[in-house]
Amino acid sequence: MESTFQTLADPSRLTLVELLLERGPTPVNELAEALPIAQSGVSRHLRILRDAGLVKVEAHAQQRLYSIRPEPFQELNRWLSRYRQVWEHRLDALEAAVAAKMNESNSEPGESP
Amino acid sequence: MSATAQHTITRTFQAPAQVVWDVLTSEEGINSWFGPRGFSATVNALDFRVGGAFTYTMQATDPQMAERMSAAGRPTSWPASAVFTAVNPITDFAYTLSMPMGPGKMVSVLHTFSLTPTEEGVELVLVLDAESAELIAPAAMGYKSAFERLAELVEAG
Repeated sequence: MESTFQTLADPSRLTLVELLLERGPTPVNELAEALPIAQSGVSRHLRILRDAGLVKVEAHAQQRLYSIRPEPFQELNRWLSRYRQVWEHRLDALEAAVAAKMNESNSEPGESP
Repeated sequence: MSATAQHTITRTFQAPAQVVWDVLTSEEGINSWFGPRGFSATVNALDFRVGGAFTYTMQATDPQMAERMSAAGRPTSWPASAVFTAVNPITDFAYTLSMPMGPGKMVSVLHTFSLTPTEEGVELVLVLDAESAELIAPAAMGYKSAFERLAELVEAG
């Protein structure tokens, strides 16, 4: 299975994900109208996005509607929010280390203006 | 299943860019600030060029934290291994690091640091770009999940 970076590295697939984020559930023919490629190509890209777990398809009346699967994005975003906290703490410590360096160089004899 | 997410953190330092850069990228500097609260970090390798390795050991220093981690079947000390993807002195650098997100699931995080001089001093922008990926054995990076520990105990019993 391709990684998400690989999956979304294709401009057509990235456009499809952006369209689905904007429009919500959308049938394939409407997606095909927005892209400069044949509908068969759009269907192929949608299948790759489904295999990657990023997009789902549901039958609605006579149509098959494509939409974003939020779970993988939500799970990763929750994890990244916690990791971001680690970095907030690290940057607090970095600020203290930079301040200490500045004090150190200010107190060196003959260096102050 | 995999996905991507991005967070940006910005800090302004009242110091020259060179001073911030040195504390940010030198081994001595990193050892002084890199350990998150309750942890210490020790640099093992710092090959500061594109493709070069950045490895360090994290150690839980807070006794309560260490106890909780042991209870959860996690080691209180573990190695981390990153690779530099960009190095441009005093303006920017970046590295990727693979980390466990849960049993059998890894996250690859691209860390990009940029320094821009401002009137006050220098602005640091850190962008965290994460991609989750399954199927990478967590044991490969010295991490064993509680599930794996449990499986070993069951098999041993």
